[in-house]
Amino acid sequence: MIFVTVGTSFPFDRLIYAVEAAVRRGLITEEITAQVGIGGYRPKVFTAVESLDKKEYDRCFEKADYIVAHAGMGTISMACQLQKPILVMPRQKCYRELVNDHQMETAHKFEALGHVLAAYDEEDLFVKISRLKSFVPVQRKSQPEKLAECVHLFLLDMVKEK
Amino acid sequence: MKSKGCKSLKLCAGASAGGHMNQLLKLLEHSDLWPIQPAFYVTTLQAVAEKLEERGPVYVIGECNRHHPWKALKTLCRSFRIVLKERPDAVITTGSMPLALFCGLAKLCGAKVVWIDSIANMKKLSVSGRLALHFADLLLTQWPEVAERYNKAKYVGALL
Repeated sequence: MIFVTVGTSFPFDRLIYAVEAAVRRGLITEEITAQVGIGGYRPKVFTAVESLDKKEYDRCFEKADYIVAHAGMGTISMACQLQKPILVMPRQKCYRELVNDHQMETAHKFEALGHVLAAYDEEDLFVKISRLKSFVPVQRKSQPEKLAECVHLFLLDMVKEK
Repeated sequence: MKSKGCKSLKLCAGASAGGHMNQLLKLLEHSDLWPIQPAFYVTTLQAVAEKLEERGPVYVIGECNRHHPWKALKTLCRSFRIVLKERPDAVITTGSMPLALFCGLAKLCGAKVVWIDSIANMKKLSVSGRLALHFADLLLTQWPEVAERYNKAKYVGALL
């Protein structure tokens, strides 16, 4: 199953159109579950809902073999944690999909690190979607404990000074 | 709550709703070793506050950004009231702008500020992070490339 998700704060129908076009071209044969957000477009060739509650969302994410999504940090970090192959398409300011282009930066960065595949337009998505099946993401090593340790030492100094 | 004989130090943890809050919660998952735990929390939306309430008292200061000076003023007023009432000794935050305003005021009232710039900023510090450069006592970024650009910023790892 492929889980398609675009977040819920801004419309992002461009990705839904692209996924639908990929299905019509026979590039996607797997079942699709989609959370399409507030853009208003409802795809004809797969089932979609506007938004999922947290529990449903997590369940879809866990069940999915692959993820196709906007380049949101929350989605990407979840894919990294669950080791799911993910293809992201960044939202762009010029299409009014976001207030700035920081998703472009996110997509480029995480693509360069090997954590995600990225597609920058519909044609690009047609190419990358076929690579998704064999894509093995580089495991992300985040170190929240290192930051917590750093804060710990800072607080310890404060306590000692007191 | 572990206070280990330093009850007089009051810690505050805060983050804007959304990704910033996810990062703060990730940090707090590893906070059990700290000598003090947050005595209260600050966020920007009521919906998020409800999730935090099991941890301790939560204050909501509202959303604002540089395009909405009027909202920023409201956030400042709310923040000022909270800072005066709670008098935190230290504030730890993962951003964004409303929390920078809160931290700035807390600093004026004698608190130390730990600013962790959001992971979303990969090339340079966020706008609010650059504001925090002026008053943060510890400033962490989650990308080595960003740390290289600022003397004050330090990189030790990423939260996500």
